[in-house]
Parts: sequence; C-alpha cells; structure tokens
Amino acid sequence: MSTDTSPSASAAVGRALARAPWGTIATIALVGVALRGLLLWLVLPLDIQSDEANYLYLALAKERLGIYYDQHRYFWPPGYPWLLSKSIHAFGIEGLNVLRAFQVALSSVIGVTTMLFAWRLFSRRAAIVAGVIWAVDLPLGAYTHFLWTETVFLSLLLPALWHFVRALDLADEGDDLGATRRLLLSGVLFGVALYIKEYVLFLVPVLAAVVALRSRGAGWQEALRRASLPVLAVAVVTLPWTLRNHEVYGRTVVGGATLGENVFVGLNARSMNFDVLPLRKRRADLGLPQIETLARTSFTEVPAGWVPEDRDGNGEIEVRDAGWDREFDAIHAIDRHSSQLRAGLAFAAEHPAWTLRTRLKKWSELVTPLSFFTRHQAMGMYPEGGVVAGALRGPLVFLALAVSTLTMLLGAAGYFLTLRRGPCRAVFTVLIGYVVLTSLLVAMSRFRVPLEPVLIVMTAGLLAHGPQDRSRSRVVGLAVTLLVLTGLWWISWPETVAAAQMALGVTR
Amino acid sequence: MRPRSWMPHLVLLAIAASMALVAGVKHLSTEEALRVAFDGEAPTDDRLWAAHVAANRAVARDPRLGDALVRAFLSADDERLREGALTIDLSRHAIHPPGARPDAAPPLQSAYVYAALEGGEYTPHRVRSRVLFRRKVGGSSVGGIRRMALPEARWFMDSLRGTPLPPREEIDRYLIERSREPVNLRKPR
Repeated sequence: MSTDTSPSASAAVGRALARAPWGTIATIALVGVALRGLLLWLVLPLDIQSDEANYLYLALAKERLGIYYDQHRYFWPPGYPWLLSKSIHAFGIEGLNVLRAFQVALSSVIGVTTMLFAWRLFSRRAAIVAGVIWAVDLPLGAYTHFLWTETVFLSLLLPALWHFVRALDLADEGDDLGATRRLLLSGVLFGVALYIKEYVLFLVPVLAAVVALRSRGAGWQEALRRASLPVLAVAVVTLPWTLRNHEVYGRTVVGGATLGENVFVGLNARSMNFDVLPLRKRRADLGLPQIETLARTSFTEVPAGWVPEDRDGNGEIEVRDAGWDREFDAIHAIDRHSSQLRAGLAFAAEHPAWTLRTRLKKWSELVTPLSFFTRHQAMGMYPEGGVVAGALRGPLVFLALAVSTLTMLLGAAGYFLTLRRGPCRAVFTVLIGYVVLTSLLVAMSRFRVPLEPVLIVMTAGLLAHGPQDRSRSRVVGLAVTLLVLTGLWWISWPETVAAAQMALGVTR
Repeated sequence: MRPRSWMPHLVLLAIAASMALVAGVKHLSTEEALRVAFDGEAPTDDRLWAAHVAANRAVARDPRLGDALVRAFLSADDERLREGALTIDLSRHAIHPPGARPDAAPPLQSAYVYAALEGGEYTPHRVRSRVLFRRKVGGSSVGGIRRMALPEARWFMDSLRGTPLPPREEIDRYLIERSREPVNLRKPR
C-alpha cells in the first residue's frame, strides 16, 4: 500500500485511510477485549501487589481526606490514583474490579490504534495480523487486570502518536488546517497521558523537533508554528496540576518527580531486577536459592573497591545496603531529586567500569522475555485451583514468553526490512530511542510496554509482506540488532530461566 | 480558522494566563496556611489543606508541624483531622527524641495508633488510623511498614460505609501475621 515517503504518497495515505477496514478492525478489537474480559473473569479474586498497593493507599487517603499525597520517595502524577478513588467511591472495594473491567474495555483503544498503524504503514492484511497478535498478546493483555498504569497510559499514548503521525501526513499533503487540528489533539492527549505517567515529558519536545525538521521546507516560521503547538497544548493541559504543585510545594513540578528515587535505585551499588526481586519471598518459602545468586556476577557485582556496610544496622549485608544513601534531610521527593541525582552521577563517575557493565544489565532487563504476567504466575498471585494457575498455566506462560520473544525478533526484522522511510518510521524510531535511553537508569519488562504495540506493528508488516528492502545497510542494521539482542538475553539468561521455571510451577 | 494561523497558540496562551491568574488570586501564603492549620474554628477541609501546604513548602523539619500541629490534630474532635495527622505530610516532620534511630517511626503518631483499644474493639477510626499510618508509602522513618493488602483496604472502605468490621480477634490475628512477614524479603528497597 503506502510507500510512506512523499507528499503524494501521504495524500494517498489520506485517501486510503478513509477506506480503512473499520469493520474488520472493530471485530478484531472486540475479540481482543472479549479475551481480556475472559482472562479477568478467570483470575478473580486477585490480591494487590507492589505498586498496586501504593496506588490504592493514595486512593483511600484521597477518598477519606480529599488530598492527593505524595509518596515521600516518589511523586507520581495523580491520574491513576484519582481513577481508583473514583471507582472505590462509587463501588466500594469492588471498585478495584470495576476499574479492571474498565481497563479491559479501554484496551480496545490500544488494539484499534495498533491496527491503524499497521494499516497506515502496510496494508489491510498487516492490520489483521497486527490485530490478531495484539488480541493474544498476553503480556500486554494482562495489564488490564493489574492495577498498574500501563493500560490507561497506552490508551492515551498510542492515539497521541497516531494523531501526531497523521498531522505529519496532512502537513505533507498541504492541509495546514488539518495538520494544526491533529497536532493540537495530539498535544492534548500527551498532556492527559502526563497525568498518568510523567514518562512522556521529554518525548514531546523531541517529537516537536521532528515536526520542525520535517516542516523546514515550509519555512522556519511555519516549522516553528507547527512544532510549538503540541508543546503548548501539553503545557496548557498540565498547567492546572503544575500550578497546584507550585501552590503546595512552592516548586515547579510538571507531571511528577521520580528521577531522584530512580537514580537511587539505578545508579547505586546493588543491582535490582524488578522482574525477579518480588520472587524473593516465595523462593525463600520454597527453599530455592535467591535468584540474584544465580545471576552473572560480571554484570551485577558491586563496584571494585567498594566495601558494603550494614547501613540499616540489622546485622546483615543485604540488597538494600546501598552504595550511597537517600538524602535524609530533604523533606520530600521533589527536594531530594537534585541531590540524589548528583550523588548517583558522582557514584557512576567514580566507578566507570561498573557503570558500563550495569547499563548493559539494565538493557538486558528491558528486553527480557519475562513480563508481569509471568511474574504474577511465579509469585503465585493467581487463584489456586483456578484455570490460569492450574490447567492453563503452562500454555499461558509459554504463550507470554513466546509473544515477547517473537515480537522482539520479528519486530526488529520488520523495522529494518519492511518498514519504509517516512514520518511514521521517524516517530517509531524516536519512541524506540526514547525507551532505550530512559531504561539506562532503571529497567524491567514493564518499561518495554510503550514499545510493544510498535513491535506488533512491525512484526505484522514483516509477516504480511516479508522483507521489502534487502539493502546492505538494512541487513547489517538487522544483524547488529539481533546480535545485541542475543547478547542482552544472554546476560540475564540465568534469572530469566529461574523466573520462567517458577512461572511454570517448576519449583525444584 | 485560516491555514497557518497562530490563533490556536494565542488561545492556548490566553487559557494558560487565565489559569495562572486564578491560581495567583487563590494563593495561600505560608503564614496564612499555618494560621488556618492551627485554627480550631476553621473547617476540617481547610485545616487539612493548610497543613498540606505548610508541611510541603517547608525546606527543613519544623517542630511546629511535626510536634505542635500533630498534637493539635490528634486531640481534635473530628476523626478526619486526627487521621490527617497520620499521613505523610506531618509524619515527615516528626521530631524524634535524642538517640532514636534515624528510621524510627514518628513517635507521636505511633503512640496514638498503638494506644490500648478503647472498649476492647477496633473502631472504624482505629482501623483507618492504622492503615493510613502504617501502610503509607515512604519507609519506616515516616511510619510506613509493609504495603497494604486487600483485607485492610476492604476494612477501610467498610469503615467509611458503615459496614460492621470483623471482631477484634480476627483483625489482631491478621495484623500479627502481617507483622511476622519478613520485611527485607518483601521490600528489598
């Protein structure tokens, strides 16, 4: 279908989109939602775990006292706890399941947008393949029954990216009015997404630069006009929250403030792999060795010359005995932010070899085939005696591992061999780069979630059309990527196998 | 709207300016926030908000907030105010006695939450106090220990809706079991 390169091609995209196979897209989206709904029904009753409990605490405090409190070490944006508080206000504790059901329905937005991207880039056939992969994508689908922000966030991020790409198409076609409207809408959606996760805060300026670069043919004034619109829209949508924060804290905070704590966790002596750390208690109960003892020490051991000390005074050297401490004197996360950033960077500079090898470990944790679904299985979170933890446990875990692995492999191949140059490729490249770079600090399978729909789209393109461009540079690019991916998998292989075995119920 | 118009930018800037103006008009000075927080005649919501503002604008631990205001809130008739003393806002200003461990829980709030049960049963306020103080995010120095689990959240919501709570034995059994869970295994950070 689209060659995705020139204004005339973009006009063709515009005409073709008017004929998008909406019936097929809606049908597949409904099937995907039904599968997620079925999964939700099968996993209930479901306890809360990790950050889910923290979100719920914030929602309960808001419900009772009417105030959104920060989390002392973090300052998360208020959107998700607000949704939770509204849900429990209306439905009591059953509100947790109501929110889960809402997320199941909302995931249709993710499915539809994923299919639209595949249609926009490739064809109707690719859209169908993308829809089928999305429908059975268990790692992504499982977030609909977790009380984590991922489903709601993706339901805003993907449409924001979609309208952004459409704006670039329309600008290429010379439809300035249409482009302006889409840029505005995209900015508004990015702004709302910032109320859920502040993750995209620095993505928007980078995308604005993409608009400016692609609009340079229209003159610098027009490039500036277009590029500034989504940034301004984001600023206005987030301004009520920013002003509220300024009133409460006397400091400017857009979205949230999590960098300080992430630096404490990510640029500190101890390696923390969040896909396996919560398995510690269960492994202790089962008499299994802790997973960190299985890890390849070259990538996890403490910096050379650094002597661990028992900082919490409990008589043991543990994971939490970090290389440097949190800023104790700062009142809250916002003030702790800058001093912890300085401490983390100083620690990294002091131990350059350690910094390098642990960054490879972070990337390895980003691309692990594990997921929060396999983590939940490994932790025994799903109801005993139920189908998900029982008869279907093995097939579902294998499906989750296979989807993650194959979409990364085939998605990489699709990116290099099938995806053609154009605005959509530019946006996907920026997103991939953004996720990869932000994961240098802290990484886990959950941080890969923003990329999963993109990987699905590129996988679908490859499966539907095969390699379209076998030029030397692209083949080399793919070979290097696969080599790096394989190397990163090798780094965390022992932990991945141990966690996958637990997920499968193999406990010997 | 004409193509290539700057009108959307101007409208957005006008909206931003109006919001900033409204925020400026509604601004509460720190002195006023402290006054309202201590004002026994002020509405509860106003006092909670004023305490929220004063506690978070501070740049260092303030005995007025960590001691005097905590005592004022904990001795108030309104249960919401007493519960407000247990949240992160005032807990982070806790003043510890000399020699206390740096990660020791805020002493005034701890004493309140662990005082002997009145009438031998957990009241709704008592359950909420326990949850708000002990399950907060932020670590032991602000009173948080172990994340919340579903039964506590259920009791919290039941307490707000007037649904009867379980008998004391059941709540005690649950809390004792939770307190025996190894913290370092559950919370590696």
